[in-house]
Amino acid sequence: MAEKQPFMKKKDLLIVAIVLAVAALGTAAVHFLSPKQSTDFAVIYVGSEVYQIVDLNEDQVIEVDQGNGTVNHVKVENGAIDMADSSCPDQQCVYQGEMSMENYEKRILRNWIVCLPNQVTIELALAEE
Amino acid sequence: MRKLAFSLLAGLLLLSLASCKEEPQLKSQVGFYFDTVVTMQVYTNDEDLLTQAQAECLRYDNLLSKTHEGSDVWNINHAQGERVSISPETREILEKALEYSRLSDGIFDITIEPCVALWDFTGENMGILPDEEKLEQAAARVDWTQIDLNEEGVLLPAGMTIDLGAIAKGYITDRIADFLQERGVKSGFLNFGGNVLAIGNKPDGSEWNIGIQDPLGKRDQNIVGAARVSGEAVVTSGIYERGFDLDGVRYHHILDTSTGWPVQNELAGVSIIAPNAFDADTLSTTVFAMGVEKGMEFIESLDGIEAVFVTRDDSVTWTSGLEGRFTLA
Repeated sequence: MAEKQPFMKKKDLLIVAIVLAVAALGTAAVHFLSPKQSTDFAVIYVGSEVYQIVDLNEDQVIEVDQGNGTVNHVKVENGAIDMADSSCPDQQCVYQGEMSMENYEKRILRNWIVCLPNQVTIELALAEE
Repeated sequence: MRKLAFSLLAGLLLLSLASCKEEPQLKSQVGFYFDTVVTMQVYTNDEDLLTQAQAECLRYDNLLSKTHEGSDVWNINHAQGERVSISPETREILEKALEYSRLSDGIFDITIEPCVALWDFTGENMGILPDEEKLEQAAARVDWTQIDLNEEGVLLPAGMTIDLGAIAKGYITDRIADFLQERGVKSGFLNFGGNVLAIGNKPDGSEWNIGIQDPLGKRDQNIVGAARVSGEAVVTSGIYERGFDLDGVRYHHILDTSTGWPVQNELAGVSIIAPNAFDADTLSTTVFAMGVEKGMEFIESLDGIEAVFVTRDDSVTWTSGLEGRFTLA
């Protein structure tokens, strides 16, 4: 073995090692520096505008008051979000039930809760990686 | 050996570069058009794409809304027996509507509008039945064979009006999907007021699993089951979307084109799975009005189209093509 020419010279090996190290570092940097969600959250919209971004790890009740008696209450509990009550006539949004990362794929509206009359919607954020 | 070392290096460099190439990100937007809610979720790197798609929704709304003065539909309904010139989009919808009227022998009919106008399934007058005599007179004016469509436009006899509520949303859903796909979207999920359209597959390549609505609302999460779909549309028509109960009778928005009264048969709802939302939307209304037996036969005769039926006594049946694709909840 020793007599044969080595597969790579030491210098080549060094270059390979350096490139590998740089590539690994670069991949790691892209992986860790890109925006990544550590927590689940939801977005409440009024019309097409973002009203509030909600952390699902924090139990809370959010009031969405548009004036003229148009009010919705959004409740967050144990990582799930739902429309607790609404001033709308049909109450469809309340019936849509709670939504979480665990159940959204089984829901008819998937990751949305919609109050059509009041134009209030809740979107469970599904950003991946 | 040096060559090998270099090609190895070059390969590694390329690999590390490739990992930097930006993957399409999930973007979503919600809007209120066509008297309903529109949600769009697509994988794209174009920040403005969904805003542009919403502008398209508004354009279609202004073109096809019955209540928007100057829209094609408004012009047709106010023409008093004059021929009206129309956009290519409206023409496409009218042609499809006529095709389905022929196929269903008038069970599907956009000239139902005079009857629709006498009912209120969502607003302040919900729960009040229309005057029987007025409804009978309105139903007498329903006749799709009177629609005269030629190169110059469309002509309706005075007193007749059209409603595209059972067809336009499906058409618009498809056009918005085209708009997004022409701009590079390979994966996405649109829901235009219950007209669900999957663009391609999920980003990981797997099929979408879409909940099929439980029209009776008896089950967990209001689904009777789920179907695997790839680039297809799912649309449900049922008695609980828009309607009210009065003296033990369910009055809902799917009207019998011969009487103007809500269709009363054994069905609570039907979901159609089709390659596009245009057909799925139109078929869901048509097949609902046909009932289980005739509807099942009709869908089985069409290629690439499937259906799930839920009866009022809560039995669930589905077409043969869904075996292995549809799972009960």
